[in-house]
Amino acid sequence: MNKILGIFIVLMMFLTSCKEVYFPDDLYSPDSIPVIQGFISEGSSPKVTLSRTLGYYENTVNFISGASVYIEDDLNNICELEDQSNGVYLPVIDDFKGTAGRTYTLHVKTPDGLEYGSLPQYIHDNPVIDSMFADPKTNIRISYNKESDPIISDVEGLFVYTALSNNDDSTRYYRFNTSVVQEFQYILNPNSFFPITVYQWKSWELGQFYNSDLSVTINGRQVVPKYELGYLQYFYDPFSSNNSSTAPLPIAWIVSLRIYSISSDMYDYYNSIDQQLNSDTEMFSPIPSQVKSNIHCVTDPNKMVVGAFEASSVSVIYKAFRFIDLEKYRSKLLSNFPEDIVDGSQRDFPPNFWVIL
Amino acid sequence: MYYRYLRKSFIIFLFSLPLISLWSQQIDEMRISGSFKQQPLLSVLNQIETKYPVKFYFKEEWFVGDTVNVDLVSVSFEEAVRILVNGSPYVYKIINKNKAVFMPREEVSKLVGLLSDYSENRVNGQPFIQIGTLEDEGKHKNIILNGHITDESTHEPIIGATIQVNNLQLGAISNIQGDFKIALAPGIYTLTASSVGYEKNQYNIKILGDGKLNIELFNKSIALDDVIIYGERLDKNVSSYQMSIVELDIKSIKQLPAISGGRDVLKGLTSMPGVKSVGEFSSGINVRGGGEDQNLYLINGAPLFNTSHVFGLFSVINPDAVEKLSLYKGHIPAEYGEGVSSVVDIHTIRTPPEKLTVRGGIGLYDSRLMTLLPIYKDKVFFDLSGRTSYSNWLLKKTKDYNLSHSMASFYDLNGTLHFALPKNQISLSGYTCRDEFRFASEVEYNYGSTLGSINWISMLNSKLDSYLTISYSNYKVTKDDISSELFQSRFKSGIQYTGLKYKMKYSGINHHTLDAGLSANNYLIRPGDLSPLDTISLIDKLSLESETAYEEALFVNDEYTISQSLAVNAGLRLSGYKHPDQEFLYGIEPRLSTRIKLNDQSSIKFSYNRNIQYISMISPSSVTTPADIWKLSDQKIKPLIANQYASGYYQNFLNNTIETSVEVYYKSLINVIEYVEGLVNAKGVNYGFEFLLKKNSGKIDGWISYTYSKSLRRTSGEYPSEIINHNHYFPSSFDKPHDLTIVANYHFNKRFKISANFNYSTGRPITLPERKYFVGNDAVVVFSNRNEYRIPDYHRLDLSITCDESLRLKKKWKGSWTVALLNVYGRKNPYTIYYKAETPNAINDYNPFSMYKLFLIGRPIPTLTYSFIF
Repeated sequence: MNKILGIFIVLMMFLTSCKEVYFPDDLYSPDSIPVIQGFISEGSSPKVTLSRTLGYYENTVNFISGASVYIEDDLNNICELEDQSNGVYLPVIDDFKGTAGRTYTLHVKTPDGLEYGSLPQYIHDNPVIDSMFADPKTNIRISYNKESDPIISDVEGLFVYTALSNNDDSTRYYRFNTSVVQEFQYILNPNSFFPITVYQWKSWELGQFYNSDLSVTINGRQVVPKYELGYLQYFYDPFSSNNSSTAPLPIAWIVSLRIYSISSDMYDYYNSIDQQLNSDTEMFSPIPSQVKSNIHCVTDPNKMVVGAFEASSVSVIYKAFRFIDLEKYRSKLLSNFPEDIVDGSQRDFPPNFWVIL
Repeated sequence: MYYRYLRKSFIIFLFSLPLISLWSQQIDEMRISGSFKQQPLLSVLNQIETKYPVKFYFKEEWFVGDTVNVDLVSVSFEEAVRILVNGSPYVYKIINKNKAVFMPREEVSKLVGLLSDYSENRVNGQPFIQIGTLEDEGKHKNIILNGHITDESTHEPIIGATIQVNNLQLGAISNIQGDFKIALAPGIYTLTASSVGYEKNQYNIKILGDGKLNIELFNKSIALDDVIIYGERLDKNVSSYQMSIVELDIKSIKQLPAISGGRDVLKGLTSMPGVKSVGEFSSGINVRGGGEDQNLYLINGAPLFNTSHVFGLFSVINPDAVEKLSLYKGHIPAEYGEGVSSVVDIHTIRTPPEKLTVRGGIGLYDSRLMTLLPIYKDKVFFDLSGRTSYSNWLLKKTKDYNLSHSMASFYDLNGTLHFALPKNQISLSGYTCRDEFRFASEVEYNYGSTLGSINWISMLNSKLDSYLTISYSNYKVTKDDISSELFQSRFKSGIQYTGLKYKMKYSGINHHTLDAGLSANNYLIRPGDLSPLDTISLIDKLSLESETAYEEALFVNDEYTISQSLAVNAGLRLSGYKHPDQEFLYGIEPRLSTRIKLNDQSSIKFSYNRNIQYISMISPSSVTTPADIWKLSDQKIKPLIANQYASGYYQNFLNNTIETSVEVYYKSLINVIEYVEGLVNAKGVNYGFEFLLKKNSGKIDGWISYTYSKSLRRTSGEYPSEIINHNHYFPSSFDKPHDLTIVANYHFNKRFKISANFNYSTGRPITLPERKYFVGNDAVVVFSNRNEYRIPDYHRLDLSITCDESLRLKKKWKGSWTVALLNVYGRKNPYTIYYKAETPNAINDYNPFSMYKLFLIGRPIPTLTYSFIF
């Protein structure tokens, strides 16, 4: 019976779908098209990056130099941007900042004479972040051993959420950008006379950069009651300690959340990128469509252009979490936290940003 | 001249009667003896006349060249005559015990009233069959002979059999029920019934009045099924006015190797020219460049809206239940609407069984069973067939985590209660199928169909029949998204159909067969209901409004045989459509087909069709899925209209054992649905060339089909959201220019047969990323124009060996084994190519994204199937 079963299973495995990486021989390399990416936020100066698309197998980015770039607001104020290098264009005069309640439009004229323009972008009031909170729970983690056998394990940690709401009854769209710094601590040469305490940290982006909004309406106000930002897995193995070092003990996570209030066309832009990056329908993939852009070629509407111009307001919240067990955790709201922290460690004393809960 | 000879002889006999009486005693005692080894019959008769007081009457030219090899040992005169002409096509009459009059059998049929006096020549031992009663004699000038022809062993009707009246230019071809009609004057005739794969059979009949003749034919091969596309038997492909039709007897489908050993009716269709599928595991078909939703599938008159199990692995049609399948891909008769590309008309078993019959098969992933149960003689009977899969327990045994937490199972069940009353046939049919499909803990699909129909065929008189069909169909899909606890949801959608069709067929006008009728149906579509699956889910309940519409039609059709060479089928369908959101729409749909017979072996045909379809399927992918939604025509989605022109040349060889055909077609489409950011109306052009070469009998049989075709689309929008490829023509998802199929069967002997099936086709169009740029650290691609590229070409070879268990027809249990090897040389035919962003690694050459080629059968697959009938 086992032999027959084995035969059936093998036959079934024959029918399991298989996939291979595909390198088409006949992929055409058409002319590149402009990539225009502009950004202005409330209280910040604008920044525009101009480049050209690459062929599918190419790796070198070609930037556009010598273009004429300016941003105009609804009061007809104009901010001209200058080519710095590597396709980056910054304001000539640094007193032009994004202001809530204003509408901004980007204009670009490339060296080949083609002109491009964006849809007007309105900057809303800053998003109101009601809270950031966590929920201690187990999660399923699937890994594979060297024989490709699946290893399924339950892990412990924290689901992290945020809640936000509008001040009015308008429909708002948001973009979430969440980064995490995790703190560890361990002892070098624990059995020696002079053990050394090491403070270590790792940083990463939590979840995806392009998150869609999801909101409900309560009493006429748009509310996002519980938006999941991601999962923070707690891992500590005291048995990994040895004579030279103790096991790294997780101390805390510091979560930095930036919420941008964006326009509906920017939401469509990020949403279409999100769909493209996370498409896994395989057999039933929808017919591919281009990422939507809010920029068009004014000179010739048939000319393609990619990228987008975003005008947004932003709210930021920093919070530290410490996992205790599946029943409780500790947290602390921080007034600020450094940006762009890279992985590192130092001995004897913690860095300035260190948080203890 | 022989009439005068015979009558002259008869007068002589009359005068000789007194003298004969004196001889009677001597003649009674007369015995004939003689040894005639390989001697001319004329010489033998002369010798006997010389030696004995007997006389033979015949025309010498009848026996020229005939020889006999007999020993007569003291036999009576009549016995001697019988022995001499045994096996020859002559009958004899003994007069006055010493005179024998010979006559060819077919000549006797022209002599009313004399045949009964002649002896039976024991070629087939059949007596004369009287049609009508003695009271009818002399009352009618013309008689309609109704006949029914069946397979002697299975009692299934033989469709497309030829019934020829010997020596007269009269005949008929049996229809879908195995019935035929011939108009004759009262008299005596010999009919010859024949069909490829069956022994020819002759019937001597004496017609006095209207009546019925039942004919049974015996299989030539005693146990195995021949590969037959019966719709093309003999010269039907040449002589019929109908062009662009594929008729499949399920016997022929059994010969094709199928995935997992199961036979698939729809897959059999894709081996014919002009019929393709999108992918290897797609049960849907694309006919002459049309989409899957442009086909109307009917099971006993009820429409079927989803044709696949397990997302295309199997079709929902149980092959054991099917008696006949007709695919109209060009000239669609006027009684059919609702599908601009094709009509697939499926009829389940309708022949009453003599006894309980059970048929089934056991495969590796599914099994099937069919039962025919007589309830009251041949008047009431019931057929029930079912099929189920058992793949779930296999999935649980796999090591792969996702597979072991997945589920894929299905069943289908259909049955019909038949009433075969005098001049009336009523059948009550039901069908249901269900699929459950879950992938890991992500998403679960439940979908299925329920169909019901009542069919009533009534023979109002010998020239007028009526057909009534009342049908119902319901298709539902439920999709449970369980990938996220906070957003778990249930989405339901479905479509419901109720319809009525009534048709009358009149054959009382010479050379005309008239159909006329009406149809009315109602669609009710539930586009979607979304609800939370659990109390903690954040999903809000949302329902899209249901929509309903009515479609009616009047149709008329005339099959007119103008002459022996020219036949015309002209029809007209007037369709009407009412949707609540718009005014009443109507359409005029002419249907015309012409056949010009060049000679007995060849003909040319032309056809023109206009079809209007008021319902479409919304599918954002190039492959239809069970979860796709149907949409009625409204102010935005206009009715789909197709105009098709076709012509063909048909040539048979070697007494119709080899058939060839060439067809060309051009089809224009208006209001085809394409998908950009939403739905847009587009135009379409499909054209092609189809070639078919088929050999129906012999040690080797099979067919070769080749199609060259193009299927193009074009938008004409003004806004970017309505434009594809700058409003230039682009290939549709069904555009596969070259398609070649070779099916060959070699019969080693009556038990063993080897079959081969090879298919080659151009890869289907696809849209690929051509450029990329970076947003932050993520690479974002820019896709090519729609369908600018193609997936690699498809080709595959399947082989199978069939062994029949028993050669004896009378054995109660008959089984057969089929061992097949699918994809013999392990071709990894891509089903699709898709793009995916992922972590750079060595496999994807450290790119932040990859293109993947997905293939479903990547290596040779052995299968084993046992089929049985008792």
